[in-house]
Amino acid sequence: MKYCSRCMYPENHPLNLTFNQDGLCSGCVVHEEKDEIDWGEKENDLKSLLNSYRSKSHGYDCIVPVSGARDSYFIVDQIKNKYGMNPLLVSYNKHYNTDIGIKNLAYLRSYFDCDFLMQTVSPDVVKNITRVTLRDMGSIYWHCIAGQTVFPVQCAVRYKVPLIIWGAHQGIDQVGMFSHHDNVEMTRKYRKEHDLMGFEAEDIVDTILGITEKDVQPFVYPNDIDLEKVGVRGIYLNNYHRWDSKQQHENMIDKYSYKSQLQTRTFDTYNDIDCFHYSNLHDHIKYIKYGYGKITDHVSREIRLKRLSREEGAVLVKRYTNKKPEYNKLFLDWIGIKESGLNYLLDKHRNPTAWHKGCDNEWIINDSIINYIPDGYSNNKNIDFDCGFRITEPRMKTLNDRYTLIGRGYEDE
Amino acid sequence: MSNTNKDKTVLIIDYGVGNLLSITKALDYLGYSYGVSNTVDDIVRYQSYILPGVGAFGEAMRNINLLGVSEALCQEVKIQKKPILGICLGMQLFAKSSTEDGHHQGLGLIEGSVEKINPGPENLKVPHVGWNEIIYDKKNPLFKNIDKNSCFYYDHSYHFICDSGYKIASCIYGDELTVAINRDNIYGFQFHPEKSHISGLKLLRNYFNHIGKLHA
Amino acid sequence: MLKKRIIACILVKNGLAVQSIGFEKYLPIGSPIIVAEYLNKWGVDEIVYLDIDATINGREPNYRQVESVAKACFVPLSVGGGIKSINHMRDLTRCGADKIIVNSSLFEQKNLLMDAASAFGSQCIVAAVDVIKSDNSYLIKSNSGTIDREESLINWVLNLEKLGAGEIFVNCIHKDGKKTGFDIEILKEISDLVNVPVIGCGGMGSPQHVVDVFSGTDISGAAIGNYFNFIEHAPVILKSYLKTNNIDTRIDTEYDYNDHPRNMDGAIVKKDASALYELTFTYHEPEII
Repeated sequence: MKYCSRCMYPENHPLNLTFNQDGLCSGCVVHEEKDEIDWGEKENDLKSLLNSYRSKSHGYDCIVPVSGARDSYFIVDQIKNKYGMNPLLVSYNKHYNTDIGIKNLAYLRSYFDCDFLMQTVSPDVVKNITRVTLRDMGSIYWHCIAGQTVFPVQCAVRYKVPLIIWGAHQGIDQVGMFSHHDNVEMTRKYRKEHDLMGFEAEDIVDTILGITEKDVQPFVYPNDIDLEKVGVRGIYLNNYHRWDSKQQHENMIDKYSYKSQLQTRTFDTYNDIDCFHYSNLHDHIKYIKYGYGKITDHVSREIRLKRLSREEGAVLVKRYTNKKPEYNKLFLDWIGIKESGLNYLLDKHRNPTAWHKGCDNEWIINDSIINYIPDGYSNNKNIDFDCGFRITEPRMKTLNDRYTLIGRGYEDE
Repeated sequence: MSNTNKDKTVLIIDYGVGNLLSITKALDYLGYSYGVSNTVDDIVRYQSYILPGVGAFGEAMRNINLLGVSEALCQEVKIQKKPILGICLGMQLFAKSSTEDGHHQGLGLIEGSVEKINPGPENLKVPHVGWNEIIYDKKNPLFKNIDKNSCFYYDHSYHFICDSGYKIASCIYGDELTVAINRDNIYGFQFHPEKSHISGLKLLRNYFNHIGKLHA
Repeated sequence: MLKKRIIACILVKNGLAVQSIGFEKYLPIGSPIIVAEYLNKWGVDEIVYLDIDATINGREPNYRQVESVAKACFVPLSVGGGIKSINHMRDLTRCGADKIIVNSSLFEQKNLLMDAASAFGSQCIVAAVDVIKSDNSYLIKSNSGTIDREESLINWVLNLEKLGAGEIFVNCIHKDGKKTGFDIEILKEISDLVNVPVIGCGGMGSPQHVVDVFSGTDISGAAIGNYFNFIEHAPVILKSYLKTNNIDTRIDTEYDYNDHPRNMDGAIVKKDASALYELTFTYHEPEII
């Protein structure tokens, strides 16, 4: 397995990587642009674009997709407070909501004083769909990504608000799929291929498991004709702002009491705290499918931002990659399958280029980036360092250990 | 996609020139079953034909003659009146003769000759490559739902010259070129309907519906 | 009348569709088959599949992938990269290639072009040439820009026409991925010189660039690579901008962006408030052919 000479990414990254003559991956190559770009000029481009989309009739200027995590606070703060836009915030209910996340979302609405729409698809439909996606793609997250990427587009069409403002484009951020100079926008093609693993809503219909065309309607992308009529465009803020998720979240913790939470399989306590399973079962599945987990994404990001060395990154990858996921029972009870059933389905999606079976029929990883870091360093259990991710005091005294479907924006005294 | 066409199987004649995958793909999309062959037995067995082709007239006729199928094909078409659709070079082969790289004899299914496209005073580029409109009679069932601005894909340096009675569509490229011909059960398109996206697929659908009705 | 062609390039490196910048930097896009599927949906006039590391890695064309790409195309597909013999060409034709693009092999095998035109017909053979501008003169490079060639560009191009190329595809390395527009000077010179259609490639960054190249030269088609990956419906937005600038192309989609206001570069901007207000949606029956 080939690895980038700077970050920790392996060549089998699902979004694909190219390597230059120095062994640097395309993600690192594009990341270097961040120190060369005139961000002042980029900001002017953004302001100009935003101005041209401002509503002349007191309506919404743009749609901003939000959740209880993932830089939502930062994005809304920029769009509403810094650039004076009037956004309509829209959110897809992931169902796997943590208390902290759902409260973050509730307070997002009140702190920023924005109008807010949430789509909660019927839990039975979501469960059924997840059974199919687990079986066919080994994914418990398909409905989340499908919903998050389509609901804002449906809103843009329905309410005739053409501009959608996203945060970071994952393809640019992780693998340098595009240069920051391309000003890439949202496309259905990217969603189908890279977000949804090639399966759109229409492909999930399954008569045996009882998923009808009506069930998948919430996940169906709007018609090209309607997109054209409204002139829908989705832009990404990381094309106009030097993106640094850690710094952005910390500003939001200080300014707006954004709450963070300790995660199982990563040191990043900011990004995906709104979901019980993102840094648990979902990440464990990623490890099964690709041979690496989100810890590698976070470490690579921090290495590129020069806050971690490669050796330190390896220590973290080693520490977190094999952590056992928590809250699996919560998911199994919700979806109605046994652990043995889950393991059977997941083993079907285990990547043979990343894993092989040992003599005792146990799964062994073929290769890992850790193997390429000087032994002395990563094996030294005495090395401990603080990546600087903060854990905030939660708003409430006890945290719910079950999914919260809808959350209130205040606490009882 | 109609299922009543299952018994009207089409034979795509493979005489060694051109890309057959485009045609088979178009037929798959439209839901028609077909065979691909170049034997006399199959020619006799099938109910209608598609004669595709990209390349040189002389070489194509040489191949067809080597395969020994021209007589059987002409017999089935002229006597048995089985429908045949010639595409691009395939249409040109219906002519009596061509002046491409010398003088060659064609299948002689429709009186006419094949001559080089004239670049004319505008010094037009040859081959005629790309998308061009067609001028057609809207009353002709083949073109019934074809929008007047529809374009089809062309890629040829030679064109068919015949009696205007056989011409069912033309296009402007300097001169007015004959681009679709028909005589009884014999049809030809100079452009590639299988490469002409939606317009092409519609035209092929119309063609099969039409021969289904007329030559059942 | 014959329309100008909008041609989409799929550059493939190691089986992966990539963006190319200056023939040096390559950014990963994804599956060439999914790229072809969407280009086809968005109404491009032709698709060019170029395997950019077959020749330099001494590899044969990737027949299986070409066949999969061909299955996604209902518009003509031209295939190039690693083609060294008539057999390669024949096999690619059987995989669904409508036209064959040859480049580097023509320098080593002087008879290949003539033999190919003879075997498949000129209209099936496209001769490509990679050009770089250096100190005001244009030089030829081959093998994905790794080998400098001595031949004079003008003589080489005239020779390609003489030997039977049906079309000439000119790829400007110095413009590749730069988004600063086509090299109008060299494309005009070549297009005025030969009697076969010329396709220009390299440098497109906005719809205005395509207006400029069609207004400033006689090229038959503009080949566009990276740009078609940047925005939704990119080819449709481009074609309708060309239409407002009186450049005729084939438009075959059910939506056309004709009544969208544009900025100076041809990008769409917001419709005015009253147009949006009055907008109504109707039920769309999917078209069954």
